[in-house]
This record gives sequence, structure tokens and C-alpha cells, in this order.
Amino acid sequence: MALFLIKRLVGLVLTLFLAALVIFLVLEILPGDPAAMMMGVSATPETVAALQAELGLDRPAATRFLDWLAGIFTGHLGLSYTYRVPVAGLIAERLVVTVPLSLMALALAVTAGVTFGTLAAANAHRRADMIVMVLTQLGLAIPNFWFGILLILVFAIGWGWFPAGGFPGWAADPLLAFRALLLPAIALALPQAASLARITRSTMLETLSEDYIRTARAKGLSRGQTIRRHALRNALIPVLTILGLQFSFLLAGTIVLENVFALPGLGRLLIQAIGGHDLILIKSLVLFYVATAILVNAMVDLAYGLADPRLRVGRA
Amino acid sequence: MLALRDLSVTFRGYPVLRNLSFDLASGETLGLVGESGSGKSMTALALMGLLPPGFEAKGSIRLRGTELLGLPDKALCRLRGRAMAMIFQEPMTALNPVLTVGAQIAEGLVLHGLMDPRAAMAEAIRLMERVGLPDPARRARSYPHELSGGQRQRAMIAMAISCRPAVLIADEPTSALDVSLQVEILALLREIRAETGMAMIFISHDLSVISAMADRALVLYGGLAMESGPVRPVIDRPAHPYTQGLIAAIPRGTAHTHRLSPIRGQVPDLASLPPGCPFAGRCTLGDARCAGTPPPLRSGLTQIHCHHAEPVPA
Repeated sequence: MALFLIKRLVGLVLTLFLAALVIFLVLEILPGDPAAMMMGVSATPETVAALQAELGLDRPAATRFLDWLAGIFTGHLGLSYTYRVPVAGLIAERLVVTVPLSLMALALAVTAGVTFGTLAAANAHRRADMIVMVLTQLGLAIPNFWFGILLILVFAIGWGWFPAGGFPGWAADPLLAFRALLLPAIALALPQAASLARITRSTMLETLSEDYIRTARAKGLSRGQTIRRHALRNALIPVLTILGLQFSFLLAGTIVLENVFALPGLGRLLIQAIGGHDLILIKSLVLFYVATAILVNAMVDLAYGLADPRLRVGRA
Repeated sequence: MLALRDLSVTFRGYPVLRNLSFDLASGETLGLVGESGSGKSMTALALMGLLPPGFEAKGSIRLRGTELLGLPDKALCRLRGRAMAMIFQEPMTALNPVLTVGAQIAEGLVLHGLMDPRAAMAEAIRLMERVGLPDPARRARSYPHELSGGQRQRAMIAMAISCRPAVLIADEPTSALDVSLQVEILALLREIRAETGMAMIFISHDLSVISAMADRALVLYGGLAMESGPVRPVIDRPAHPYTQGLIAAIPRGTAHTHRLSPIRGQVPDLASLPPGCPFAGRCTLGDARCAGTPPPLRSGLTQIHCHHAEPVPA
């Protein structure tokens, strides 16, 4: 088991290193000099060179790459070109929006997806199943930014139950902050919930035809008890893998929805950084997204072993 | 104790089982014999009320006077595992891969309100020891994939007998096992039957297994009882042409001097069964009447459904 974990960890670090290298190289190759951008069209070559020196852009690429890597561990990721404040601080203050938003969306997607998928499978080819299938088809087809706008129109502007956008901060009013994140979380969760429901339905149907389900019924368990105690865990093992992959899409979705709902999160920061050619900020932000996706998938791999005893390593 | 009367099972209108009747007394073992598709397993599932979707049962199944057909699932759940239990053919797939063996054996005891979870787990370990699983306290915490095929079938037996059912249905319990294991499992089932006095329905395609386990035998073909009666006369002096064919097809162990004598033809599929005797197309005595008219029941030493053959007089 220990060896397995060490192997996983080494693989993880390697993947993250490669991701950092690719991100750095791509931004390096990209045309457009940040110093020239910041000084504007009327700048003289001397002033641009001076700014380049100030930003450390005159040093060799390899040195800058190693500095950046070291910075990931020390937290010194440099100053943002446009905001003129440390990048690490910028990211940290935006995390309190994006992390809760993603987790809320994930929780909603899993709860709704597994519930409706199981419901559909338990009533396969009957009315409840048909309704779930039609709704999930819609959920998959509707772009989530459009659904976000619809939610704002109905629940924020129409009925006034939720703020239409913006974020008051957790310290000021935690309940209002939560409400500000709820509509975007729902919009974000919709396509994920729809595809999870469909996957759960099909894995659940497959599981329900297994011999051990008949054994459980022969023991005297009702249909519901059989689904809860014997089928659900088996059916969710494949769903878990999909969940890890979907989390990447969910993160990408936050970029769009934070802009729709004017939330001061990482996604909005990224869009602003791209607009301002703030390469040093973009670099660290993109690495953050990539690292989160990779770490979540690694955690899913570990959870897989917990859910399925057959995949546990190092047991007799 | 258990009485079947005219039990018929259809699948989308096609007959799977036709007018099956038998009685089973406490402590008695009935052997159900037949080829694949003869309706043996469907009889077992109909008894448990666990026919797959699309199958429909008619007639009457009475367990200690209670009519089981048409009983709501809730009431059947109280009987399943408690009054009647079942052992399945495939020990490899019949156990839940993500639950420990001990938990799966203890589950029924808690479900039927016989014990609290702690006592049920202790009882599960005791049962595992009884069915011959080595190191039961440790094995109870194992998962099915950590057990061999024979061990899984022993665990399956422990699960089935946990609530001391009045009727145990064993559907080909040894068919997936090695011959040497088969003998051990059959011996174990005989011991447990003697200890508990439970009635047993033993399903097998293997006549030698039936003759070792059953008091009475019922030979099924195409969903119809061809011949039934005490196990010795059914096997030693079969009256029905199908039973005779089955027995003639048993390899004699002197393979080089004896040619195998199979029953000619194929088992017909459900959709093409004749309205009369299902064996008509393959029978040595078959004629036009056989395929067209259901064969009458004739009683002697054994009971047979046949237009032509005469039962051996009682």
C-alpha cells in the first residue's frame, strides 16, 4: 500500500512539473511583449527596456522558469503586471469565491445526478424514467451560461429571491454570500447533474441485473433496500471515475459563470489577466486550474480503492 | 408443507412451465431434473416470487397454507430468506463484491429481526465454521474475491441456512464446482438437512446427483413434468421415453467399449414448442397426436405425462 502511494505521488509530481513546463513554454512562445504593452505605443525602446529589467524579463527563460517553480513552493509568484500586487495574494483572495462555488456545484450535481439516475433505473422504461431522460437531455443541451442568465431573470430580477450578481464577501454577510453563489452553482451543476444522472442510470441498470442482486432479494430485502444496500455502491464505482473527469469541465464552467454573475473569482481574474496581457498572472492561474484538476483525479483514484475492495492493493 | 397446483409460467405469452403440481413434506427432498431450458430454474424463481420482468405465473403455490402467488412483495419479503431460502448456481457472481462475507451472511438475521447486528455477526462466524470455512473469524472480514469458488459456495450455503428456513431451494449448487468439491458440498448439504429437518428442492441436470440427494424426482422437459415419483423407480425403471433416453445417455465409465447414446435432435426453443407433448419431435414413440394434444397423466409406480408409454404398475 505504501509503495502504491509513493508511486502515485511520484507520478503526480511529474505530471505537475510537465504541466508547468508546457504552460511556461506556451506563454513564452506567444507573441506580445508585456513591457511594451504596458508602456503603450508612444514608449521609447529605452523605457521599455527599463521596465523589462524591472519585471525581470531580461533574464534567460530557464532562470525565470526555475524562479517560478521555486515561487510555487514559497508563495513568491512575482508581481502582477497590471495590478502591481503579488500574484499569490490575488489568487488567494479569489479562491474564497471559486472554491465554494465549485464545491457547491459538485455537491448539487452529485446529489441530483445520483438521485435521479437511481430513480430512473428503478423505474426503467416507465414514466419516471422517461421524464428523467427528457430532462437530462435538456440539461445536456442547454449551455450553462444561458441557463445562468435564465436563473437571474427568473429568480433574481423576476422574484427577487437572490442577488443578480456580485459577491458581498463571507465576512460581511455569510448568508447573503451563500445566496450569491447558489444560482451560479445551480447553473454550473446542471449539465454535470444531467450527465451523472444518465451514467448512474445505465450503471445502476447493469448492476440490478447482477446475480448478487437476486441473492439479496432472495434474502428478503425489498427492492428499495436492495438498491440502497447492495446496488448503489457497486453502481457508483464507475460513476466515480467519470466524476473526476467531469470536475475539469466544472472548473472550466466557473470561468464562464463567474463572468455571467459578476463574481470576483479566479475565472474572472483569468479573463481580466488575459485582457491585460498579464502573463505572469495567467501563468500561475492556469497552473492552479491544471493542478486542481490533476489532484482531484488523483483523489478519485484513491477513493476508487476505498469503494471497491477488489482494487485495494497489498491485501491478502 | 409446500404444495404446487397447476403452476404455469409464461414469458410474453410463450409457455415456460405447464401445469406443474407437486407436494413437499417437511424433511423431504425433491429432485428437479432437466436439461437447460426445461423450466427448472423458473420453477425455483416462481417459488421465491422472483421471476424476472416479463414472466407471469398462474396456478397456486401454498406454503404452510399461505397462497404465495399474488401476495404483495412486502409480504413475500418476510418469507424470503426466512421461510424459504435459495442457493444459486454461480458462487462467483452470487455474492456482492463490495461487502464482506460476514456482513452478507449476518444481513438476513438482522433483516428478519432475529438478532441484533453484533449477535448476527457472531452467528455468521458460527455458521461459517459449520459449513467448513477455515478460520471463520478472519474469513468473515474477507471480501468474496478473496475466497475460492468452493469457499464462496460454502458461504452461500451459510447465508441460505442462517434463518433456518423450512424450505431450501438449491439451484444447481455444485454445477460450477470441481468434481471433488461437488462431493464435499453435497455431503455438507445432506448433513445440514439431517440437522435441521428442512425440506429441500434440489435442482440439477445430473441424474447421479439427484439420486444421491433426493427422495423423489421430477423430470422436466420443455416446461412439462415428464415423469415424477420416488427417486429409485424413476431412475431404475423409468417409464417415460424421455426419462429412458436421459438415463441411456449417461456415460457408463467404460468409454472405449460403449458409445454414448444421446437423445436425437435438439431442445426446441420456447416459441416453437408444440401445443401437445414438448418431447414429441424427438421421441421414439412420437406421432401426430403427440404434438397436437397435451399428453394425459398416467399413474403407476411413477406418474408420467405420455400418450403412449404405460407406467410401471405400482
